Amino acid sequence: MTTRRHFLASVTAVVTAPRLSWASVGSPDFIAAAKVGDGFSMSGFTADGQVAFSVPLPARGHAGAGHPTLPIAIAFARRPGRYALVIDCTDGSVLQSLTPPDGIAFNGHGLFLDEGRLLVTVEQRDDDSQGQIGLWDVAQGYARMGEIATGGIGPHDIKLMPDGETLVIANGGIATDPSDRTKLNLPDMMPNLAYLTLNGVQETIELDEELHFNSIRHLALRDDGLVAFAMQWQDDPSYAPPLLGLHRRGEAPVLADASLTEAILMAGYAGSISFNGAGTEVAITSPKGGRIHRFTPEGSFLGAVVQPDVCGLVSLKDGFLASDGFGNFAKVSGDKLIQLQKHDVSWDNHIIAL
Amino acid sequence: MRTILFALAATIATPVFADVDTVVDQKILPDFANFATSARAMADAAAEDCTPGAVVPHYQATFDAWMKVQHLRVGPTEEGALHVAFWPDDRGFVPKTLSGLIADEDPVINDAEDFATVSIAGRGLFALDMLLYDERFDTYGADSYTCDLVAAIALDLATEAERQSTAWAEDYAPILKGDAPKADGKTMTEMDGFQVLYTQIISGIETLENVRIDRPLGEFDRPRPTRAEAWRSGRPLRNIDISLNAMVADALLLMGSDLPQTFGYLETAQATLEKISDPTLASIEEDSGEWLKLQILRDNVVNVKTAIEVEIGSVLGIEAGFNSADGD
Repeated sequence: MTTRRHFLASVTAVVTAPRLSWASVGSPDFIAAAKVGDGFSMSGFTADGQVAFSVPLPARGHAGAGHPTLPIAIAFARRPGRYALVIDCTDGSVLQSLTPPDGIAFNGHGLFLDEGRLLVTVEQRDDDSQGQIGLWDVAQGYARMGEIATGGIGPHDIKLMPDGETLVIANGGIATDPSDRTKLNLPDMMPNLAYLTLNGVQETIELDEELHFNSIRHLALRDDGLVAFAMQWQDDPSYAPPLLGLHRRGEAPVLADASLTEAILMAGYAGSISFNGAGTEVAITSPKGGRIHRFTPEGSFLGAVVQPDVCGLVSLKDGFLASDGFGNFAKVSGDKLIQLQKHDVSWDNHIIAL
Repeated sequence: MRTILFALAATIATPVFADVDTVVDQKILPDFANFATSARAMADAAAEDCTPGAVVPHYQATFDAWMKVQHLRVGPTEEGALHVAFWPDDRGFVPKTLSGLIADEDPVINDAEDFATVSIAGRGLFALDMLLYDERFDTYGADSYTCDLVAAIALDLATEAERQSTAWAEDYAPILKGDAPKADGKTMTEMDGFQVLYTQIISGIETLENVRIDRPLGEFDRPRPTRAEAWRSGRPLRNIDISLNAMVADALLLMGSDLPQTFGYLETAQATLEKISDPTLASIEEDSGEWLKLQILRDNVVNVKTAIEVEIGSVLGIEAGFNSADGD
């Protein structure tokens, strides 16, 4: 009979053995979830839009997290998620299914830390939507190590600050019914941007009361610690709210407005956010508006690039890579949109850099 | 036997012909031309006499013409639609912009090119709706700055309407029909053009439901009639009526075949519309029966949309955008 110790040891061997690297699956630069016909997948692809690998998922994914060295990806279910899958990208096999503790749900995002030794998952409590991050010990077969409160309700995206210790989290502010995503607290919602370490929350930043409907949901980070956050307006979109914010620790957040016409065309919704490779521009996507908005890192509007159903966005060395629900990858360079590759899938909300 | 089966299968597989050319040539382009003609007639009338009595009939006719094309927010009208109709305006950009111009007696109205630099909130049908009908503005005299402002807005709107009509006819219609390449050099197939127009119809009906009806509907114990579209000029119900009929007419021509379910639900919606007695929808505040009729109309509109999705979308295997329909 296999003892518990024995079992964990064998799992550890499977998960961490450095037998293969990302090169073995075509050296992808990015991963993204997709809908393929009636099924779902996770794909890795290169900066020119070529798919390097594609593995099936049992249900619709949201974002993912790629191990820094091993060809292993975590596929997060859509919020509220009851599982996250550890996927071997060489063959698509599910190495393990992670389940949150009772009364907790995954919220769609997470990342590897400490050279891949630690997995962090963004979570919320079923009963009151209070946020926490879950910590998982990769070497121990993804053993649950504990959790840390995020200092807000309904957390969503997470990034690691350049100091390598501080995490920045978008506490979206929306309390949801654990069974069906029904939003429960819109009149009173108050999102925040939280900075935390393994010792707990260090600082939270809230917007003006007037903007309390602006759910802070997705994050992008520049090497010097400038945090960009994308928002989703939870009231009438004709308000034409700013959907991009910029924050540097110790300073007040800067909100970036587009022109009135363009702000209205975004339909109150930013789906993804990224800096360009040079860090000279930051952009947000709106699938509802079918457009990408470019700004300077100081928050001045540079202009719109039109692409129907665009959502995923990530940095390229010389611009951005954008994906849409019609299977396209396109490169955004300045105000130009260059179509790269069209695949017979619907790319889902996000592109994650490896 | 084999031939019969094959013929049957062929009929089932292609019971309809997507007909982008017909809907573009017979409906969309004439409707845009009509909008441009109405807007030009208003500009001409306002140049002669800019007081409300002279402009109002043209304003109403131009708004009618706009409601037949307002759902086509693609190509030359993706951004242009906001120039014509800046609504909803919960933050009050329209009155703020107009009050600012009037208080300063801003000379920007004296030159059409200068006027084109004014915020879209100070232009188009909703700027006119405010100046011609709101008690803060509508008592202006023939020699006032406001009167000249009305004429300037009407002229600017005529120019924009003509630009839209021309750009649709000369630039975008050939692209949609596959006769000219898109900006990226590719040519649209019949299905591409069909998908574009289908998406416009479906999202137009969704706006009808979620904005034109839901905003005034509010909740049973809190109706919000002044959140209705163009309530000052008495147009809320008329706008719903004209746009719903226009979108279904587009769908019919686009599909090139009968849409029995869609038409059944359209008739039901039409019957409900006729039972609502107050075209401004103001009555829903006091009369819960009227509120309920608007709620029923909403359900009828949802049924029309679902029927179009079944009779067109599912037949042709079209889905709405993956990310725009369900993000996170």
